[in-house]
Amino acid sequence: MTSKPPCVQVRNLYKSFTRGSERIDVLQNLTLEVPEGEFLALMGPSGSGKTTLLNLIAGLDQPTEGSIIVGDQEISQMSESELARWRTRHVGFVFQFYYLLPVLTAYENVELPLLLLPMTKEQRRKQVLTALDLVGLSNRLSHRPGQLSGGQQQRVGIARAIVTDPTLIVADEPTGDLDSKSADEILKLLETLRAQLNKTIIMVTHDPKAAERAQRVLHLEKGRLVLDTDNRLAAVSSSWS
Amino acid sequence: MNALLTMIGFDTDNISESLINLVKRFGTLVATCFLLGLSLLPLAVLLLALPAVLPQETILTNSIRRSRDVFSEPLRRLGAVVASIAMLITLIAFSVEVANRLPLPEFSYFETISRMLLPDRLIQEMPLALVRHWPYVILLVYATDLLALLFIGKVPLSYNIRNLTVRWRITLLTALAFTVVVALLVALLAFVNGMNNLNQNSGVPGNVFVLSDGALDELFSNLAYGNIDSIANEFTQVDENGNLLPSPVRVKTMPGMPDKFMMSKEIYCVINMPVRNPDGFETGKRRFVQLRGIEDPLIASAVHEILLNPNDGSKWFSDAGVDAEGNVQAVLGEGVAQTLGADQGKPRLEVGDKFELGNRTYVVTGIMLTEGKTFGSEIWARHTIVGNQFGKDKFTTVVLRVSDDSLVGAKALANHLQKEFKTLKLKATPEVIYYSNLSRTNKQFLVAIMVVAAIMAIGGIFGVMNTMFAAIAQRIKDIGVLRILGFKRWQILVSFLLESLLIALIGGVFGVALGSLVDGYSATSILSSGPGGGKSVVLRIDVTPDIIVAGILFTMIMGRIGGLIPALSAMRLQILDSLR
Amino acid sequence: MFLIDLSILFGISISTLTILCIVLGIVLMPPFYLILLALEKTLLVAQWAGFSVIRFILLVFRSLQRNLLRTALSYMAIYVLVSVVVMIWSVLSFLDGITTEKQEDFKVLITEKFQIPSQMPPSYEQRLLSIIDELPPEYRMKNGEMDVMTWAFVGGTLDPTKQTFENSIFFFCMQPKKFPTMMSGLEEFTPEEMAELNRLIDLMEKDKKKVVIGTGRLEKLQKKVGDRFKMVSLNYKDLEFEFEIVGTFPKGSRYDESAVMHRDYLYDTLRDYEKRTGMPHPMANKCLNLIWVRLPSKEAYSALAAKANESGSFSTPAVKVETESSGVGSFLDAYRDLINGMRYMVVPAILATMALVIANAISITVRERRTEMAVLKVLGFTPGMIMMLVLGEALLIGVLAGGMASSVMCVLTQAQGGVKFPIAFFPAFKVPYEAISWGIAIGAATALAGSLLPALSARRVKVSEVFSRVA
Repeated sequence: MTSKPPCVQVRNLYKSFTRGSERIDVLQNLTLEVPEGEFLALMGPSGSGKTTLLNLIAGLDQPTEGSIIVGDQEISQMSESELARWRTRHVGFVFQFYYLLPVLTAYENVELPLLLLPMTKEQRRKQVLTALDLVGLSNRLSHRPGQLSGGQQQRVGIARAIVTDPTLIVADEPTGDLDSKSADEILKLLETLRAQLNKTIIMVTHDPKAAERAQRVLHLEKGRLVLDTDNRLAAVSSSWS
Repeated sequence: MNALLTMIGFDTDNISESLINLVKRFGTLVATCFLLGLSLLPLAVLLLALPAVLPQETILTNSIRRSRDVFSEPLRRLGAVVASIAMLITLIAFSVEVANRLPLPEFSYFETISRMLLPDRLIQEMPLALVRHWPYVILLVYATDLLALLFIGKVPLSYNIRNLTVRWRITLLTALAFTVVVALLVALLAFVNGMNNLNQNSGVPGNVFVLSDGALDELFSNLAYGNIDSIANEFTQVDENGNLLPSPVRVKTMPGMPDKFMMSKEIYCVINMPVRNPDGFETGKRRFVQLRGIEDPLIASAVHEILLNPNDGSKWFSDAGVDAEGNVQAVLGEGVAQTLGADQGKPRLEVGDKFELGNRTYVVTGIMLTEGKTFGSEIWARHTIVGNQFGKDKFTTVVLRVSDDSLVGAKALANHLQKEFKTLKLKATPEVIYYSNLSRTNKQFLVAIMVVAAIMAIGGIFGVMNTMFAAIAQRIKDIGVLRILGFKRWQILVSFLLESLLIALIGGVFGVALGSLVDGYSATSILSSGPGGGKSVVLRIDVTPDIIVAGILFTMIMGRIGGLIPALSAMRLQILDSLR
Repeated sequence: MFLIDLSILFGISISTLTILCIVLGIVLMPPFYLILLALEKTLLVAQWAGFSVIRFILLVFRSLQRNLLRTALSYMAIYVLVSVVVMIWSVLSFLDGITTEKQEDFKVLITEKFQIPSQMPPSYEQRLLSIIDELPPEYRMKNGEMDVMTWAFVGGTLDPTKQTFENSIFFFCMQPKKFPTMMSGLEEFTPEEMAELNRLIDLMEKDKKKVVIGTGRLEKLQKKVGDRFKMVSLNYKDLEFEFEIVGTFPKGSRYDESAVMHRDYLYDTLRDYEKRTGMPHPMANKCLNLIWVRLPSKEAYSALAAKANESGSFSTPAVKVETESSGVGSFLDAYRDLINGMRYMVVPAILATMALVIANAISITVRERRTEMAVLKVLGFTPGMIMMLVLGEALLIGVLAGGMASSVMCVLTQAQGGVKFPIAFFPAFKVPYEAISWGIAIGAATALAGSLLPALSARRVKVSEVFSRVA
């Protein structure tokens, strides 16, 4: 067990939406912790609130009640513009549909978040090249998303996510749109990032096989935590049998 | 450079293939322009004609049998052309028949336009309804065509209408462009219409307008006093072509006064006067007003068929022409009364008001009822006063009424006076023809308006094209689903074309409503008869059903041109591609 | 009044020019894209490319490449409409220009006070000179008599039995020696052309029956230099003239349709008529239509005007003294409604259409890119930046298309020396260089106006809402 403070701390989290005149409670009284350097998977059926939880932890939305601490910052009370600034530096996003800007090249896509930070061109260049090197796409710098395969696009997405050296990486169904071979590569990449750079990764997924790659799996149902399995234990136990 | 080349599809690794691609694209561009012309055809005709232009397209059938010999393709094209022409003629014939039964006015500007654009021989071959009321015919063709298609084929119309209402914001935005263009067109056409009304109403069919020989206009005409009285005794038995008339045509006499002829002798001047503001100070601007010195106001009133306003104490000027204080007595047309009234801060001058003209003071003794006539811009006073004040001692104009009060008689007498009157060389024209010559300016304005409208239409067309392309891109899946459900390609084409037509129609209707707001306003303009002549006139802007129809037709055409190409692209989508 | 037909001719040349400009717009579309690309590359290469702002601007450029068709359509629409607006504004400002006062060394017109056509007795010239002599010296003409010029207009036809537009001719009746000093627009002539003109003037002064006719009119009359012909006058009834064509004006100048004859020939012919018939010709005392005087200053003009009005020296008919520009102004008064209609109805309508087209295109773009913009917000871009992106796109098209349209219009007219208003009195019409800035301004303003609402809606894209639909 580490004595370092956990990367993410969620306490008594509530989140509800109002659609028209109805109030929908998506998350109810959620409490959890994510230690630094952990690869966590969030699973659950449709409507269980896993994406909402992810959004809240990543600072994309504000909770109705409760507190969220990421790194050492209480983000549940931040204003929208503070959150925007915070997100750039501390969170990296990987999306199911990659969401790369089709008019920019791979290099420019990865560079995009850096434009918001006070850096010189040279500094930016170094970081972008490092990131692209890490994901293994140094030979595709000037290609546009339209010229890359699904797996390659996702790798660019991951490069963009790590280029700012964030505290936390958040992935929303990263393999959902990929064939099994590319999915495998992506998951391996995420694991490498965790191992080599000690990144904390939270991944939302439907796919149990993807979840197996994570160190811990949290199951959500109807906005509540129902299961917390530790794959490391499962791996150990299965190696015995 | 690479980026640009990639943009247009040039792959530097494979030059020859790319060149071929480029040529293909260019060819498509040319074909596209041609298609734009086709877009104006009725849909049914279009559907039949498309195989002629794009033989590899399947429109009415779901697939094309591969041509087994070199004749099939040209035959198919020929068949398409023949079928489409047949359909076109049927539609037109049907609409002409319907148009004939509609209660449409006899005169229309559209006739002017068609006579301007088409050679005379062609005009003689065409049915009258087509020449005169072609916008109605075209609209009828479109309407019939659409109704027929809707009836025959199950076009998914409700789907399109639902789309328009759900995305009402963009629909309104696109329609707004049409509104602006159509409103402007309607306003401008109404202006020209007002000018034309003046010409129509100003000429009395039985009048002959006499100037001195060679005078380009009243201003330059010069008839000596004494000699012209003998004009009253002239008569003729033959018309201008030499044919015998049923009875001799003379100068008519005043009703109840057999020794007074209906011959009005007039001195026409154009006077420059400074524009004053209500405080009486000159603004530095000047305007020209028309002054007519009349020998006998009662005769003039009868000849020109102009009466004084019976309700405000209007009276003609006296024989002396001045009142007790020496002010020149004058009667004013309604238009000039308004113009001069503005100088004094009133809506119009009334009986008893005074104004300065030349170096004398004039007093208004009456207002003439001159609605829609050029005389509305004129000031009438006694000819001796006018002549004296402005140094014009000869009459410029003589207007006389023929005994049979008809245009035929007027033409005959005019011809006689011009050719046979020996005492003085005259230029005599039937008044109606004199005024219609003045309407030359109208034709020129009409052309100018058409150019402006066409250019602005380009904006609207691009707007609708943009919208439709985007709408289709958004609904690719929907189109795939419709095809799978069994809707044929041409039904998809028609339904998207209808969408753009609907947008155009909505915009057009609002535009017509907006443009019609100018109805009834007065404006000044110039009528010109040619080098050297010109009258400044006040006219009333007039919106007529003809103009409204023109507006609707215009918007429909814009909608068609803008909507065809996107609709064609919607039709060509492969089913499976659209669902991926 | 014949101004009307000539202005229609003018209108036709303007329209042709506009249409030409529009056609060029289509041709110029590739350069439009090239310019975009070039600007992009320059930004990349620029020294201060270290600034992230440049990258941000690059994003705007790139976004235009998303959908070439849409960009092309928007460009064409703006191009066409800006061309038309620039043309109309240029015409309006041209008209404004010739009706505003010039401050010094201007020409003053003396015409009959009340009537048109203005007809004065020939003796008025002498009376005017004597009145001017009574003015203080600084108010008199600098060059004495050479700064005074009289005008009469004699129109006639070569065939009195059948008079047509082609066989008619309209002479400016003047003293030829004053042509070089008093006429405007002579700076358009080359030194050789001026020398030739002076030679012709000498010939005319020696023989009053010699005339100079412009090439356009010569063609219509089917005559050439050296021919003699008889003309029966239309406005001077019963007068016949015998002319010899001694030369022509430089081809393509504003004098193409003009014809000049010696004034003294008219006076002589009038005298002959009196001798022949025993009575003066009815127009004998009306054969002076217009007097030009070049005065040194506005004060001189006021002084002259005051004097001309007061004394009984010009009584029948009375005269008015106006500046050149106010004379034109009165003619234009009748067109006032038409001009105002242009200015306040047509132009705003066109501007509104432009704004609508842009609003259309941009709102489509915004709708398509909602997810993209949400992603930018996720990455930390502020709502303000997103709004700037949208506005920037619109501005770019507007400014570039507007600038190109007005430049083409400008170049077209300036290059060929302007559209010649076929009346000798007016300068050629050129689209002024300032029009380029108008074009850019209009393009920018309508772009902003049209894209404002879509930009505001882009700003309000909510990040969480866009993603919560996923899973």
